[in-house]
Amino acid sequence: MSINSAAFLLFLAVAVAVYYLVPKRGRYLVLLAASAFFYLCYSLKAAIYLLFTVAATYGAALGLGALRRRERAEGADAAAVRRVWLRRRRLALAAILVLNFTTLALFKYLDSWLGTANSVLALAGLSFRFRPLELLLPLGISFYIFQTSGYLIDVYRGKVEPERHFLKYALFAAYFPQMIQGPINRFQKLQPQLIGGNEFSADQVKYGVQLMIWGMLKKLLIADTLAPAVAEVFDHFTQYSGAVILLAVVLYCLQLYCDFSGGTDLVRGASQLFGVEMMENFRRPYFAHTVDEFWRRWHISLGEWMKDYLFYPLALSKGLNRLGKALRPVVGPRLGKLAVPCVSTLVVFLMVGVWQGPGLSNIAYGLWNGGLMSLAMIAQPASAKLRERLGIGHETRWFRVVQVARTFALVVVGRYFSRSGQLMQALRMLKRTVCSFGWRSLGPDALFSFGLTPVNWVVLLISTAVLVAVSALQERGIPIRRTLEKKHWAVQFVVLFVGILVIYVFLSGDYIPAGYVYESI
Amino acid sequence: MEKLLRILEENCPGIDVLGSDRLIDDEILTSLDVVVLVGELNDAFGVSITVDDLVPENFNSVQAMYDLICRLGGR
Repeated sequence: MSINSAAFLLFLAVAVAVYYLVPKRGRYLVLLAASAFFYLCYSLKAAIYLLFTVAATYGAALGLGALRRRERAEGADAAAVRRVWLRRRRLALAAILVLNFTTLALFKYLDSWLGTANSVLALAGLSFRFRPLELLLPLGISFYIFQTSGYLIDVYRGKVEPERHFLKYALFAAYFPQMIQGPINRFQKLQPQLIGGNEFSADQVKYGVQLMIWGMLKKLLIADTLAPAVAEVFDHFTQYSGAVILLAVVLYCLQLYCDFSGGTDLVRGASQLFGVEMMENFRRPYFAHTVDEFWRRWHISLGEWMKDYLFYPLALSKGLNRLGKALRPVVGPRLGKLAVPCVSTLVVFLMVGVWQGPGLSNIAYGLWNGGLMSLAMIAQPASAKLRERLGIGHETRWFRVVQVARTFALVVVGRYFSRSGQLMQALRMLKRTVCSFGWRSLGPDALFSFGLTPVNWVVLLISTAVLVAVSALQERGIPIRRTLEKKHWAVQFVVLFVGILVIYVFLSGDYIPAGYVYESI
Repeated sequence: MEKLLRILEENCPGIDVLGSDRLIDDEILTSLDVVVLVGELNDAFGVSITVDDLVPENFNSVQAMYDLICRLGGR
C-alpha cells in the first residue's frame, strides 16, 4: 500500500476514526493494529523480520537494564568493579548492535558483495560463480534498525529506562507512519505520545491534513514529474550534452528534496491526525550557507543520530585524541587540534555514504561531503583573513546569496555520485559536464529532449515557484499554517480545495503511485 | 572563568559566546565547535568530559560550561 494512494488515505481515515472511538487507555493498541495491518499489506516475510528485530531489541534492552540494576544493587563503588560491569554492558550492547547492523548489511549489500566476489573469481580465471540471493529488502529496514539501535544505546547510557511492555515497545519500533522513510525518532520524545492515548484536537487534525496535502503536492507535482526525465538522462548520459546533464542533476536535487521531504510531510501529517508529533526531518536545506549547515537541515533525524551515536563517541575516544596529540608536533597545534573533528567527520560521512547503498560512488559521495566539511574547518582562518582583506562583511546580503549558491553547487556535484550508483559513471558525467558542456545545445529543444513536455514544465515551474515562495517565508520565520488560519475562511477554503482537487485529479487519473527514493534504503 | 573565556575566544573566533544562553539550541556553536572545545577543556582543566556530558544544557552558555567543569572537578 503506497502512502500516496487512495487506499492509504482510506486506511488512514478508518484508523483515525477507530483511534478516537476507543477509550484512551486502549488507543495505543489501535495504533499497533494499524501498524501491523499496514506492514502485513506490504509483505508477510518482511513483517516476520520486523517482528524478529522488535523481539531481539526488546530483549536486549531488558538485559541492558537488568545489568544496570544489578550494578546498582551490588553498589559497585570500587573503580575496578565498575569497570567489570561497564565491560559487561558494553559487550551486551556490542552483541546486539552487531546483530542489528549485520542483518541490515546482509539485506542491503549481500548481492553486491557476491558480485564483487564473482569479479575476483573471474579475474583469477576460476569458473565458479556465486548466485545472487535477491533478498527482499524489508520496507524501512534502515530506519527501524537505526531507531531501535539508538534506543538501545540510550538504555545502555542510562538515559532511558527500558520499556517492559512488549506491545508498547513494538509500537515504538513499528509505528506505521515512520516505516516508509523515517524520520528516525527518539524513544524519549515518541513513546509518551504513542502510549498516552491522545485527546482529539480539531486543530491538530486540521494541521495534519494540511501537512499531508503539502507533502503530497510536492511528491505528485514535482518529484514524480521529474523522476522519469532524470532517470532518462542518467541512464543514457552519453547521448546528452554536458549542459543537459547538469540540468538533469540540478533537477534531481529538486526531485530528491520533494520526494523525501514530501514523503516526510505526508507521514508527519498522518501522525498528527493521531496527536503524535514526529521529529522534523528537513528545514529548507537549499537555503544553507555552508555544507555543514546543509547537513543540519537535510535529513535532520539521521544527522542527529549520527552526531549522538557515532560522531561524539568517536571524537571523544581516547585513541583518536591520542592521535590528535601525536600529530600536533608534526602538523602544528592548530591542525593537530582539528585532526580529531576532521577524522570523525570523515568517518561519519563515510558511513552516511555506505548507508546510501553499496558501491564506490556512495563512498565517494560520503567522502566528498565529509572532505568539504573538514576542508572548511581547516581553511576557516584563511578565508576569514581573505574576507577581511577584501572588505567583505560576513553579514552582507549579497555575500550570503553567494554562500547559498556556492553551497548548492557543491551539493549538486555530490549528487552526481549519489544518483549514478557507479563511480565511473559519475566521473564520466562530471567530465562531460566540464569538457563537453555544449553551449550550442542550450535552447528550447534541450528542455524537451529528455522526456519533459511543455505541460510538465509549466506544472514544474508553477509548483517550484510556490515551493520557493513558501520556503522563503518560512526562512523569515513566518509560520505558514498559522498565517493562513488568520485569513478569511473563504481564502482558507480555496487554498485547501485547490490542494485537494489537484491530488484528486492525480489519484483518479491514470497515475500509478510511485515509490519513494528512500523507502528502498 | 577567565581561563574558560580565553579558551572560548581562541577556539570560537567571531562568536559572541557571552551574548547568548542558547549557544547550542540556536546553532551558534555546532557539534564540530563542541568537539574542538571539549578537547581543549579536557587538557586545560584536567577533566574528562564524556559523551554523556555532551547535552545542550552543558554547552548552551558560558556559565553552563563553567558549571560542568566545576562538577567534573576541574582545576
